Amino acid sequence: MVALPLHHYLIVGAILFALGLIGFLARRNLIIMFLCVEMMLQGVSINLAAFARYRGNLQGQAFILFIVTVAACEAAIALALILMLYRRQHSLDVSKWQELREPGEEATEDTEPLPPAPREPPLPHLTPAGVEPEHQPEESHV
Amino acid sequence: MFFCLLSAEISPAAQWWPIVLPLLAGAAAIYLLLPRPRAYPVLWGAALGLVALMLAGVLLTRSSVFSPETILFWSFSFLAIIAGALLVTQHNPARAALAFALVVLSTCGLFLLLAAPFLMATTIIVYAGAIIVTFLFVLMLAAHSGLSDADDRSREPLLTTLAGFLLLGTLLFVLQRYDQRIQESTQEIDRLLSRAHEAAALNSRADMEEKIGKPGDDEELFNQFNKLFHTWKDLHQRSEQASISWSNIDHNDPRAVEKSREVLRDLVALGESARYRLGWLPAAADVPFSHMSGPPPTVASENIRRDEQGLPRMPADNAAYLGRSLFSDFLLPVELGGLLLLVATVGAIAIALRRS
Amino acid sequence: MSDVRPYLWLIPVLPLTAAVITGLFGPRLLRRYSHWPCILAGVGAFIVAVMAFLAVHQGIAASEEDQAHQIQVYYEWIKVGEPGIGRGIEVGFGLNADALSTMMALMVTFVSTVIAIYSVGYMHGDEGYARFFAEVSLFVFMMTTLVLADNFALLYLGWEGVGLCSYLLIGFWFTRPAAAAAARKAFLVTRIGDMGFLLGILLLWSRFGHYLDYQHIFDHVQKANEAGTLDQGLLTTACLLLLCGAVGKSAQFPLHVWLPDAMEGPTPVSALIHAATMVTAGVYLVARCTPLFILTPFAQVVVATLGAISALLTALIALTQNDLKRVLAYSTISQLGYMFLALGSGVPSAGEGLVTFAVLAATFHLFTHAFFKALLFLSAGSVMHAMGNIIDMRRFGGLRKVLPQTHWTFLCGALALAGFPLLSGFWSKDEVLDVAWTAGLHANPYRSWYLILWIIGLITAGLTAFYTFRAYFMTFWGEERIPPEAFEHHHSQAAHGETSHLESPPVMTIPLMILAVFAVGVGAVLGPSHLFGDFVAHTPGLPSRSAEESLNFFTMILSSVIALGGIGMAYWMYVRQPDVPARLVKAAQGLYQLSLNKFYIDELYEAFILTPLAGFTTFIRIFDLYVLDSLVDLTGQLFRWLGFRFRPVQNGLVQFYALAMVLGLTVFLIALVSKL
Repeated sequence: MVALPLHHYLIVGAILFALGLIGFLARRNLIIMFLCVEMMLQGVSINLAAFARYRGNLQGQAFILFIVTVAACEAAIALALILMLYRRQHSLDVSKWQELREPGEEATEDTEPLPPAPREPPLPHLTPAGVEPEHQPEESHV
Repeated sequence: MFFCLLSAEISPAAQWWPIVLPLLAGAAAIYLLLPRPRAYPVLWGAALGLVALMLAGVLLTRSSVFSPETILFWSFSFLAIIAGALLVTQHNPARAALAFALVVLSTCGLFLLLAAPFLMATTIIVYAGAIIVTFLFVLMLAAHSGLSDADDRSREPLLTTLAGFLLLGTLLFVLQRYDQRIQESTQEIDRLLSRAHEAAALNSRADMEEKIGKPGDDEELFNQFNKLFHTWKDLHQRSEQASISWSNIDHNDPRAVEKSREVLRDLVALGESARYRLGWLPAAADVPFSHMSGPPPTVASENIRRDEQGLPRMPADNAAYLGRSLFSDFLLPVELGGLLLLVATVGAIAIALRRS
Repeated sequence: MSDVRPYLWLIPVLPLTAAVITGLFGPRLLRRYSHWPCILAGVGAFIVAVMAFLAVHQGIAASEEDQAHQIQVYYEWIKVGEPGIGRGIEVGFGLNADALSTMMALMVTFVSTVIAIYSVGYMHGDEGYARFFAEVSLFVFMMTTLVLADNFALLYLGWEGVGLCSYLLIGFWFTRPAAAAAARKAFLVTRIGDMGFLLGILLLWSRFGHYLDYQHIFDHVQKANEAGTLDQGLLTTACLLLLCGAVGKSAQFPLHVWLPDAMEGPTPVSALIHAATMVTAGVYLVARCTPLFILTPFAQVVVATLGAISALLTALIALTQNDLKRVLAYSTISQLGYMFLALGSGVPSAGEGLVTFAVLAATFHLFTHAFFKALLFLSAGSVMHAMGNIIDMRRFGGLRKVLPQTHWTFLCGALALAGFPLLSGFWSKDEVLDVAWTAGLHANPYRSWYLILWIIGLITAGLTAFYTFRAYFMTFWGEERIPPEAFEHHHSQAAHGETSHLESPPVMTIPLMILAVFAVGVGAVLGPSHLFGDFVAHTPGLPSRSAEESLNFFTMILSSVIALGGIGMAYWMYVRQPDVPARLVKAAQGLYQLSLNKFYIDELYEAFILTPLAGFTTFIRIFDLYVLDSLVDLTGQLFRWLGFRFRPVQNGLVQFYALAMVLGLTVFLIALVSKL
């Protein structure tokens, strides 16, 4: 039986890396950007695991463990930072933070209008069931 | 050696389109699917993406063997890639987080295939269990006011897609060339080995010499082997020795034929070991790793124990061996990693603390 | 005692230390005691110089070559390439003690120490008191380096160093426009000569064996000459280039114009730098390079001719000048001209002995001149000090009663300068004329020319006596006239008209007396006894003297008669018949104007060199301002414009920056992969 060649795994790793990169560059939600970075790390991890397998030692796997460690630290710090940023602007949009641009330059604003939000489906109307009970005239307070 | 294999002349454009075609389709799919105020129909993007995947599967890997392992590989990697694309193109951050969980899970499947069960467990626990949950918490905390309109927009969709796929194309090109060269070299070795076998089967010294070629000629078998081995010093030395002992054999010696066969057998052994070395990245002799992290670099690749697939045999007790490696060769990094975790915890608390 | 190498370096280094100390601490800490480092260093250097002199003298007496010519490289300064095999430069801070250099060092340290002491009185109360002594110390350092150097590079260092100090000291009172202009003029004019000098050194280095030290160059040229491979034209060019430097530094015609203007500096400076030491550096250079000059008769005759022309021309100018210091300045040029005349007349075709004799005559005249000219300048300074900085001889007169000590010392100097029989000037000038006479008598290609030069020398001797005593009589004889500024200067403690207090303080007059003794005595002792000649003749590189040259009584008597005639003429014209000069002026108005205006040489330079040069520089300035600057501005503007175009790139969006990074990385990767 012939094993899968090494470069199959490497190709998968590269594709995950590139997708993560595109996501990091294009998406504007801080959290999604962060997830994309984590995905890039996953691509790298696949590469390392594949190399470890095809070389017959455990060094690559040890590296992956370190990657996981660092990713955990990174997630902790980054989430704390994202929280801070959110408290300032009340938005997760990374484009709200562009104060470090060249002085005198216009801020980059979104010009294209968003389509109207889809109408919420109307709440269901329940037809009243049964008959209203008769009101007895009250005669006495006793 | 990696670069030596690549350094052969770059072949014409015919070799490009197996890379370019799936990449173009993939880029178009991602471009169409990226969120924007006036979105393109999702179906087009999805269809294009599937086409790209198929093309990549067929053109890039050209694999026709079906075994449980290959089928698992294909399914996990397709799942990982599709989930990755979903993560990139999903409007809703919570769904994106779930797509990421899927990416992590399929990656873990690939880890299993790569004989890393401990890593699989770790990754699932740390990523899927801890990190993604934390992300979701933050999302819930942040997005209680509904979807942000930033989620419906992308920054420079065309440029970023191009940049990402250009990078991917470059990487794939390098991998492709590498794979190709290994295959070519394998074929070359096989050809030479069969020549050597044929020569060894002959019964007279003169016939053998005719088969092998005139000494000094480029086509001569020993010269060909020498040329092939120029990146491996030890093999090169041994093949040159074989060449010398070949020419030293006296024609009138009654045992000339036996002696010649012996030399040719040595040569075949050399060629066989070279086949194992192809695509192999040998560790430098001065890498300071102990045998705890695997066979030491002094062990030649052909001497490593192999499984039935021809790959080096991995220890069955993955977690124990990984632990031995970590706590022997990587002791200091492990300690530093622990310290880093501590610092990160303190830092995260310090940063996220709501100041009055 | 016999080995001076361990302490020879003290001669330059002591004044350098004094300069540094005074420069750093003078203005704040030492103040009116700033002269002490300078004087102490001067005395120390003088003592070391005496020791060196005695050691060399001993060596000569015992005819030990090693002791008579001591060289020590104290410090490796520049080493490039492989100097040993003629490819590269090697320059060491090497000092050289031989007869000529120790004699010069002795003279320089002695005169500078005496003048420094004199300056204590002269510069008293000046604002730049510390600065003055720092600069003088620096000058002594540079001058001793110059005379003791054993190679051309170090000589050049000293050469430029004394030029710098001269500039600083002429412009000592730099707030006066005249002083600043004079300093600039001196610096620029000598630079012209220095340029030639530098070229000469480089030519010698590149074409004569890639050496810079005297010994090797002289040996190389000597060997080439003996082997017949010497390039005569090249050597003549090199010698003329060296001469160019000497002419600039020693203020010879045609670069003599800076020296009279340099009198704007303080008088001790004029005495030290512009009479006794720095201006003689040119003479020293030519004397040092005698082994080169004797191989090119043409260069020699150029030396002699320039000397003679300078001597005559400036003597004629000095006849009519009214500024006492200027008269002395012109006489300095004239006497330096004598020295060049002597050096140029030492033609080897008239016997090897003449070469040595010529060098002896020149250096002897240099030696005696240093003393009596310094004396004259200091005396003039004393007069100036007393007269409230008035130096125009028409404003004062009859001072011999008012300034008795100054009068006597000035008279000593004047007699020595005029060549009064048996005084210094007499002996040395006589030797100079003797050399020219011998060169004219003996067979050589320029024989008759040397005779003409000899006649010029004789005429100049007469003129020298005349103008020196004209100045003397105008200052110290006749009716007593004192300008009113004299009394303002002296704090008006005493009543006006009270003249007894005008004489300078002892700190000034005592150096004057010392110098006077030397001015009169040095020549009188050394001249007839040949002590000087016997010593300097052992300078390495000079041919040995073949025979004892006898005193040439013919020249001696002739020059004495001429000198006495000049003195008598001056006495007659300015004491007996004071109306004669005015009548003479009227009779020869044109000649008088020519002399008074210095032969219009300054004006000629102005018209034919400065004005075209100014025009050219204006053109260059405009070219620079509007063409080159515009180009430079264009470069700047281009990038400024580009910068403005690229400003929007810095838009503050994190993702945009990340995109740029990725694109850059991709380009890099593609470049890498395409190389594979």
